Amino acid sequence: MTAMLDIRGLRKSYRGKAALRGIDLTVQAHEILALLGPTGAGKSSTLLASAGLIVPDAGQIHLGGRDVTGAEPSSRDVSVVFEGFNLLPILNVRDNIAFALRSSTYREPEDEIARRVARTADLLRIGHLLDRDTGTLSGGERQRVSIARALVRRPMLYLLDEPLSALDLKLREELRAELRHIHREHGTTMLYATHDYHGAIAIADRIAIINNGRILQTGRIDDIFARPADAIVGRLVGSPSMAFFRAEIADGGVRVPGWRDVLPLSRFGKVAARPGAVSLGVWPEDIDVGDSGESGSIYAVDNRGYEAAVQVDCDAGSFRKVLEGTHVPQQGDAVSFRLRPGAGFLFDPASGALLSHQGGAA
Amino acid sequence: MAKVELRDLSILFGAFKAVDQVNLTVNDGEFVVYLGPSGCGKTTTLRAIAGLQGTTSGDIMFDGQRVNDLRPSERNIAMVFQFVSLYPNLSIAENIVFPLKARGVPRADIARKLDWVTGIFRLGDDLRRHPAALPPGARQKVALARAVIREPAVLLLDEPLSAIDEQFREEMRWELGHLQRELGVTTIYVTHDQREAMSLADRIVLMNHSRIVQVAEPARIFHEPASVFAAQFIGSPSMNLIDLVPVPGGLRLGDTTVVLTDAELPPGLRTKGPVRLGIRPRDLRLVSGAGHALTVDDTFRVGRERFFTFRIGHAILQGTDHRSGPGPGSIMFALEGMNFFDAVTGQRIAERAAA
Repeated sequence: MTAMLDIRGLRKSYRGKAALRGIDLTVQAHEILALLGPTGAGKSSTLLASAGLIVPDAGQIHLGGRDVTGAEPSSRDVSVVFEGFNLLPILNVRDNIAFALRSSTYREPEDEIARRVARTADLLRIGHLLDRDTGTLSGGERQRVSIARALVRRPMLYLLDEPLSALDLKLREELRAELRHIHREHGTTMLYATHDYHGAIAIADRIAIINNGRILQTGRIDDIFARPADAIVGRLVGSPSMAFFRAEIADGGVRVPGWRDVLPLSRFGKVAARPGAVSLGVWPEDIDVGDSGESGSIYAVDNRGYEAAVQVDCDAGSFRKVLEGTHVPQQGDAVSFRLRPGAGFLFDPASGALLSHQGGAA
Repeated sequence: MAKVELRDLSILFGAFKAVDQVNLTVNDGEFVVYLGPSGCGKTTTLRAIAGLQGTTSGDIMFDGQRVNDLRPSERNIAMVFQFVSLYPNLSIAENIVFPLKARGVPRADIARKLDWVTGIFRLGDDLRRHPAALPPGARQKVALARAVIREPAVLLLDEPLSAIDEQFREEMRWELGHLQRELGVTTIYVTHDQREAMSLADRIVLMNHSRIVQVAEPARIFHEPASVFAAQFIGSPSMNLIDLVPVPGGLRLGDTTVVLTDAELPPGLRTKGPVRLGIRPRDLRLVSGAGHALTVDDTFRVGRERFFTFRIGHAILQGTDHRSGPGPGSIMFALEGMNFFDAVTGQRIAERAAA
């Protein structure tokens, strides 16, 4: 594999406030990498710097093996979609989509342009809007036009910043499928920024978790489940996300207030922590709700038709879980639960750093 | 608390029927969610129940009493809107008790009710703060506390979560579900978001084109949609819809050579004309081994589940990938997941086979 985009030590501050605190990120050629993180994590700044639309304070950006850190945006051969991306207001939809193909970089023949515009517009279901003024479009329609503007080209790299978040669920699903389809057909390389876990795993080959201007972990989703590098990763990944319990390392075991069982420290692999407070993180799939084990109560029930999820509260914390059986408890019911053998990770309660499983997954 | 009934309710805007002959009973303490695309009449119905919108014909009954001609303030309802309007210069506590103070409720009663609401809403730490200091989700919670503190007969919620950031929205969905059951107040909730409706509702009222399409529990509407519209509106990924053509011994899938034999079809299904099969992706399984061999286009994940897509004619269908590893597979239709719709009217035509 070769790196299409390689970012090293990228830093950026706005008015003294650090947005990027040393981003290291590699997008391999022909992959879709999702950049997953909450609002304000640094996703947009990372994409803007990659496109050359902001100048980083420090760090290097290589695109297709070339150092483009100081290069003009127009020389980078990337295609960008931002949420609320501005369309050219004096042009109609057709000319907006065709704009880049007519530029000096591409200069495609007009019949080729017409063919590609029509095909892209079809994909995004805006074929009927081609002669409309962009000012007359709804928000969802404008967003689709701006996606079409990007997809009509075949750049080295697509930079997509929450391109689907303004659209309704059905359209979002369809467009995700279309993006995957385009990716499969043309082997495109995409960096796809989103705060939506479902959106990220539905589209991406690999995921990079970003928070507070830093990349916390990059990998395939299975690798992230097997060894989440930070408590924040646990909070951002999974559906529902990771459950956390207050716990304490004492006498070679992990004690959780109110729990009957003490978890032997050995189940957590090599642990880089001394006796004291820890945070016990467990994927909901690794907690069995049943007749025996620790005690909790049902805080709320989320019926989803084909399945039900519950929030279970106990003294040391709470967790949410999709139930496997057909029996759905009621709000306020007492329930028992237990962790599956070997399940659970220990995190530093202050820094969030992973303390268990040093040297690999258990 | 109250039982709410709508009887033959119609609302006309000029010649346009915004609400067309709607009948519904909302039971005491029930959580009913109106769901439908924009313009379907759900918000108009809610506003009519609140008294903010006049009715053209039909009755709105609270506990058997007609309220059509009562002003909003006479109906003992509380309403929360998409955009929260708290008094920015008042503390959270002052905001919450405002409706009681305005009504001249004795100070001791106000204190008691504030305690009650604060306990349920777990707002104890925020009481002295001001609205600007709270995140949007928490502000919506305060608006809700203010709405319920005077114990209204009916709580009306108009898209209360849609202006909240997606990250807080799921949190608030859990909170809302918990709070409504804790309070036990009759609740009518309007949304266009099927996930909210599925999560929160005791029953969903699905509307389209000013009429009710289906009234049912979330699981029922998911598994037994009344029409193609209901099938497509609810569920993610969407229900697959495949046109079937009767052939000797079974039904053929579109213009392919794949035939669902009588043995694979529910025994109750008798059809002479073309039908549409609706099948949830979870009931369309890609397995290793015997089944209908079709070419898989793509595989992807939703949560920890793996899905796949394949094409039949122009239709792109989705199913769940149950193969143990990569490699070729074949497609199985789960009998208990089959829904049949009239190809012309879109209405459900056959009962599901027993699972």
